[in-house]
Amino acid sequence: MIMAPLHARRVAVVGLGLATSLGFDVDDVWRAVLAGRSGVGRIRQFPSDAFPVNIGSEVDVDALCARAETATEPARLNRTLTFAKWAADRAWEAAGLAGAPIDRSRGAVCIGAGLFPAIENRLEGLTPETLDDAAALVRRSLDRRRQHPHLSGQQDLGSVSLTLAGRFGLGGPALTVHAACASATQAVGEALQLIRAGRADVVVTGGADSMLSMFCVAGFTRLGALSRHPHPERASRPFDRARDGFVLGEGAGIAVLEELEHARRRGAPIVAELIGYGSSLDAYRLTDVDPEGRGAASCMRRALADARVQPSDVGYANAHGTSTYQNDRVETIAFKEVFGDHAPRMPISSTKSQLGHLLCAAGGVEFLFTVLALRDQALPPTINLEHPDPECDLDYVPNRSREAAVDVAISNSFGFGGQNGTIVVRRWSGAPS
Amino acid sequence: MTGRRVMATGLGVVSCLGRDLDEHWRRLVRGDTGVGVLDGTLAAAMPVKLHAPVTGLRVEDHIHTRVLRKLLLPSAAFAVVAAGHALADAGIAGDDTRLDGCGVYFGSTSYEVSGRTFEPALRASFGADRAFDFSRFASVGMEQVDPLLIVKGLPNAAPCGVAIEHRLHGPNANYADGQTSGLQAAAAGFEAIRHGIADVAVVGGSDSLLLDEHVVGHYVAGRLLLGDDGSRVGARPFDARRCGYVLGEGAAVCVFEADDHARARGARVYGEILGAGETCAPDGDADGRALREAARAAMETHGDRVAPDVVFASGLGTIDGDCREASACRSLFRAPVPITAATGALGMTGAASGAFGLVHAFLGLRCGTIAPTTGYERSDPACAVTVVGTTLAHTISRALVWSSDGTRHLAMTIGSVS
Repeated sequence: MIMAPLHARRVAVVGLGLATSLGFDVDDVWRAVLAGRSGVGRIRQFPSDAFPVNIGSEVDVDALCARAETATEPARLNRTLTFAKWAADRAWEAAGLAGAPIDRSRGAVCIGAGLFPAIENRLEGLTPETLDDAAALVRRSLDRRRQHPHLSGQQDLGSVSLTLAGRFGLGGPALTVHAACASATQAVGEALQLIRAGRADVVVTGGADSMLSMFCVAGFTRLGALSRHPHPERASRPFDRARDGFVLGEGAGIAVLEELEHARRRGAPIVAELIGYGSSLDAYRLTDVDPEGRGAASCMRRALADARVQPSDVGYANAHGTSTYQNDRVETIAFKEVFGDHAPRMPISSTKSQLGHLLCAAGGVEFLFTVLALRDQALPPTINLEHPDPECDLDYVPNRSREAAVDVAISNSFGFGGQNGTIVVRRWSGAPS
Repeated sequence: MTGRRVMATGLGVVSCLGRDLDEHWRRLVRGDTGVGVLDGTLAAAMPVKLHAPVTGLRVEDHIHTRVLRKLLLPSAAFAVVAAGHALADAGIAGDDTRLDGCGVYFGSTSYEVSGRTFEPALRASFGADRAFDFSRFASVGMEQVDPLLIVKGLPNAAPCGVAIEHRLHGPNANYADGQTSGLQAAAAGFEAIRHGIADVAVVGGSDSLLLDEHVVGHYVAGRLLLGDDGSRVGARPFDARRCGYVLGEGAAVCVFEADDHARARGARVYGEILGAGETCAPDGDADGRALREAARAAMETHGDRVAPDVVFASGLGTIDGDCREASACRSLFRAPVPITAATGALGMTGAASGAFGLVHAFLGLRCGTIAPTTGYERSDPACAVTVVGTTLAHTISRALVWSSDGTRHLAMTIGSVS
């Protein structure tokens, strides 16, 4: 195998941006995550009181709009795009790219995204009469499209990458990746390949999603996937014996990646180096993970091989850790399989304990936390880990953050349907290597 | 060029023309179209009279995983069937040692969930005042929500279904950027094999644009060929009378394989993938510059910049889209290069369309035949380009395949293997 050309170009992480239930400023959110604060509460974007499950990790869109000086109504109609724009703008600014003289034709977007609630927006205002009259339904649909041309492309996932490309005037590939809950991690991985393969010098990547709408909550509830814990802030409890499902979250986690020499030449604020990516397919079931964790293990192995590091080099793993019975058990099996004797010594945590499951955006915010853990040499805790589970017996950094000397860290995401991804990040010491 | 050489060793399709590659190709070169008459409520309420559905495909004959048959929406089911055809064509279907590391790079539909899906729950949730009532939804409406709503609606059901049915565990990615997704996936699969991330990969795209919501959306955007003149074509690409496209569906899949891997098993090779280029122009690309840049990047990957013998274009039959493609084609090459597009035969097949172009290019390379631009009859001076109107015997040693939706532009070059 000829590997050298792909690794000749290294990839720096140069800017970060977040929109989460714990806030909109990267350092504020990171401090809250380290402090073990939960962003989970009761869902407020529709009247959810009577719902059997109404727990969510919800972003305060009104507050976000106030910060961004954006009109609230259109922002509410497409939360995914609202979060994506905010987080991408912050990442772009933090990277020192606002107004910077870079070759925009060498800039790309590769972002994980979901837009399911856009389907529901079409249902607004339906009455029993229109439902009974098929022709009236079509006419109504035509009228809505004509009256709200901005809604027409709303459920097209491609609008997310294209909007961000337009925002920064980027002329390279504009890619929207959808791999369910692995979307953002796979997007970051594919962004890494874009730069390595010479197809771009700068890539806006990460993920954005929102599925806290009525039918999404109903669908996940009917699927039996959500936690029904009586106390919202304690509902997301990855690796805890009393875990009973995940908590729906929403938001965006976006980073700017840049070819290392390109970043050095313009004196970019390098935060970390992205050094590896691996993906795999469970090829098991659409609805369940492979109970033996083969897909999870193989994407971790591929990522470590791609990064050219040994399992024992890894000092921290940001787990997928959804707080479902099956994921946390299977992910633990996969960690043991891949890391062997090193597994019990490797700190692992799930920041879904603070923020819930951001679905297509999950890998984006978790990539950012992995980068920040390396930057600050501080590991975020898995909160709500009160009851040890004999099947989950590794070091999950329970309840309290921890200082640690970490050089290499990984972040996992495993998607519904069986697409998986792992990325490998190295601490940036500033010294050329 | 750096990295390994990448070959196409298997092809598979499901289309409105055919349930497999042979039927599809036979009818395509004959100039058939798969366009049918749209009836029912939608046609009664709107002036749209045509669509291009896949017909006669018995999914249960092709998909052996029972749960997949139950869960997959049409576009994902087409993907699974077409991928099976392509793996069989490549001679590796059922070969678990080779399939285990096989990658899947796919371009998929955005969302294929019909508004009708929500009807039972909505009906159960209207209160006494006939207005929607949240607490009624919570108590009785919700019981009418399909527990598998989210799973069925997954925009990555196609690659996951392909992996499950054919037992593929390799590297993967799924793109959801509409029309250009199929070639985005092919470009990613090409790069993955070239750089040693995978030895073999299933690449392609699938889509289904037949829901009421699709028809209404494309109609309001003014892009649909209504068929009120009695025509039965999916579009009239580059024709003076062109007036849009008919919505269609289908899947087109290739097996890409590293040269050494294909040789070692004595695989039959359709051709080589030489390069890929991708650009975007979010505010539109009226003069075709961004499309030209994508084509140049694809041609330059290989280093020799040899002009292609033919261009497999999008040819959506829209006024501005075809002009952009014609203009890019004229300005790229010194001598006129023939151009062809299959939208007239297939209609607009969304994320599958670019992958269909790729399949037609490889078949053309192998058979010495350029598939026709069905629906093209009269040239348009505003859109001057050498259109392949009817099937043409023509030796192809180099072809350019592109997909352009006005904002995103994907191009790939392929060549014969000497």
